[in-house]
Amino acid sequence: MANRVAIIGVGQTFHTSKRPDVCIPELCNEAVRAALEDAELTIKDIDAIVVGNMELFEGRYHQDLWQVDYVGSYHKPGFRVTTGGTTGGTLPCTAFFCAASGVFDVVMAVTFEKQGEGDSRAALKTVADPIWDRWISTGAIGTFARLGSWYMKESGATEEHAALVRLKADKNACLNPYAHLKLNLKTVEDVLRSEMLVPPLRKLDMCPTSEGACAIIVASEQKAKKLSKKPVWVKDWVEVHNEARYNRGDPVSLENLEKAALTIYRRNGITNPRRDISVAEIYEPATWAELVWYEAYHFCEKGEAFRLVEKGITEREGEFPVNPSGGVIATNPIGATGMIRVAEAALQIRGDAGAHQVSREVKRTFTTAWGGSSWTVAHLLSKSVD
Amino acid sequence: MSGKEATAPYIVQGRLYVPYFNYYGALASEFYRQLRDSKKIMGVKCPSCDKVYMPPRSVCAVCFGNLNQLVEVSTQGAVLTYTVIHYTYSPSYQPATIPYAYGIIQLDGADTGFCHLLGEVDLDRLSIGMRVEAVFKDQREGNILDIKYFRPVQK
Amino acid sequence: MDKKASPEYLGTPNLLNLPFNWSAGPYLGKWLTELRDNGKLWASRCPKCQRLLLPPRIICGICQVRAPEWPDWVQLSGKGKLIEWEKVVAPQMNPSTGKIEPEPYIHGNILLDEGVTFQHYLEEQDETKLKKGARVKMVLKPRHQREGLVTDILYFRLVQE
Repeated sequence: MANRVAIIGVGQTFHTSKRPDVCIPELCNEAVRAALEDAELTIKDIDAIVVGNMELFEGRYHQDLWQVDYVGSYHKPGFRVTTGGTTGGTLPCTAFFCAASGVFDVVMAVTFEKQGEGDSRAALKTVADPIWDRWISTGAIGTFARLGSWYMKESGATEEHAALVRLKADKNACLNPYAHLKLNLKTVEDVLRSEMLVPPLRKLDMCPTSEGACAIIVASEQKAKKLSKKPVWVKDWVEVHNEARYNRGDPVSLENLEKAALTIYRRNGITNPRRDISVAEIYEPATWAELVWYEAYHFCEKGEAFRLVEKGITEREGEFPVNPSGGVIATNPIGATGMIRVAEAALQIRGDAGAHQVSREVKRTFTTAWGGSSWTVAHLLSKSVD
Repeated sequence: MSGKEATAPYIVQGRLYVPYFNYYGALASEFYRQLRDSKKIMGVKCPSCDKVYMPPRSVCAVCFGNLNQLVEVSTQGAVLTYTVIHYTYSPSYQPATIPYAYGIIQLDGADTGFCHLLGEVDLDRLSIGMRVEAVFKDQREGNILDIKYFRPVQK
Repeated sequence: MDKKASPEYLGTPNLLNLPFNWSAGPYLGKWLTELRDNGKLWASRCPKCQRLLLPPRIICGICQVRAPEWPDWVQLSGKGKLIEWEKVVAPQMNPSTGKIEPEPYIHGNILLDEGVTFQHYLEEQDETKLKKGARVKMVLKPRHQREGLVTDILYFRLVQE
């Protein structure tokens, strides 16, 4: 039986499209110092450090080597984890594994992306298999456009519903000091005026390319109780991977998302997610993904997600807040994005999220990360240890 | 694949060709500005460890302190160790044609050594402890090759 | 150092430019050889779940059983129907050359008649002529132009049947 673990500190940088004032290790250092300050610890209290990002975006490799001074891993154990778009979701899991195993008491996870240093779309294409289909691969925008047109046909949702998701994201992001895009959008028309990329996907339906970093500090039960006034307990986590080539004819691949959510629900007695979870912070790179994935995560019945949005159920002050931080549509430093979900959820449980804190009591949170081939990582955090 | 006819290996020749632009950050920008504009070499001082690091960095690995105090170091120093390169591997990644020498050089006023090219020197007469000085490029661009190489101190 | 006093942030271009020799292995290597030399499209079949694997690979990722080697593969007709497509309008860099690719172009997801999907370019560039379920067939490059890559297939062409 593994030890129980808790998150005892979180830190993130502000986000923007370009940070010429810092090199990559310096960017990470900002998040590390913020997390240490939040936990009221010094680097001496950290036993091991795990780092990661989705490589390719900066053209710099073996980043763990260059980060040593800056993340405080000098003469300390640790390793680098990189699982593509899910890196930010996998990295907290890695820290949880380290602390739960009993090998380390206090573990820090640090992740970042600095997308302004490269050509993100060319970098993403290098993920494709060079022997097989790199020659004919396309980008991410088409994927989410397809998701949108498929969903409109399946459910009867309209572009206005996607616009409502964008409005919610912006309203929340404007309250979040760390968020990237803060556009002060007022109406559905403000969103629908945005440039069309691939119908029905508009520029504002898609996440930005951001630079930023995030760090969290994880401790074993004994240490967490000793070191922290407000430990956030990690109840469960799951990573769902599939084979990369999904030539199965499905226009939309939701299998992994559903599997991740249902595994967490089953293992933790969650029978009605909207009742049993207080806040969700999900990885949604596009408005249409947020809608479709509500259904994949069983937040509602199939074909009903747009009704939730219509009724404001997932607003910050709604019955079931989703992404009170403004989410990925407002801020996407790819390698850090998944971990920001976890950090934001921990702040919501502690009541420390600030202006974008939900007013209801937050007992349990559900967080996800998502990446290539629809890989999905999910975590369940809790206010109480039991 | 014992007992079976081996299949001829199938190789796909490919290339990665992706351009990036990496920022130095505020501290290293100042280092390169001094190098480019004033032919000065700066180190950074860690007050609590009482060490001057060259090249400069904004965090001390040992004490985890934030470093921001740039101090000028000499353009002369001593060779701590060296090596001579006799093969060509990838011209686009090699800064000189063979044979050429790399040295780890500790500049006067710095507590650490750093790697650069050694030039205007008989490669058979390199020695540890040899005194060298920086030779700067005329057209400097704000990168480490604004120092062309280090050569034996001219007396 | 006072950051406000040093507004000029410097950096350096960094070109990743490296050659590679990727081993395709016996499955994909044979598939590419057959495409290049004989213009044939093959898939393997998982002996357990019976689904077609395109491109053929050594193992079915779902059943975790070994898939048969060539010639125990299924030859595909190269004909099928269009499931969906996307028009790529934003200029994209080819990471193998650093060049911006010509756009727009249309990329299709095709359900081949044998029951497996395949993604490739479409010949038709007028989106209004595309319909879900439209019949398409594979068009190859002439033999002497084929290099043993998936781009030996030029595109899929709309056909009347």
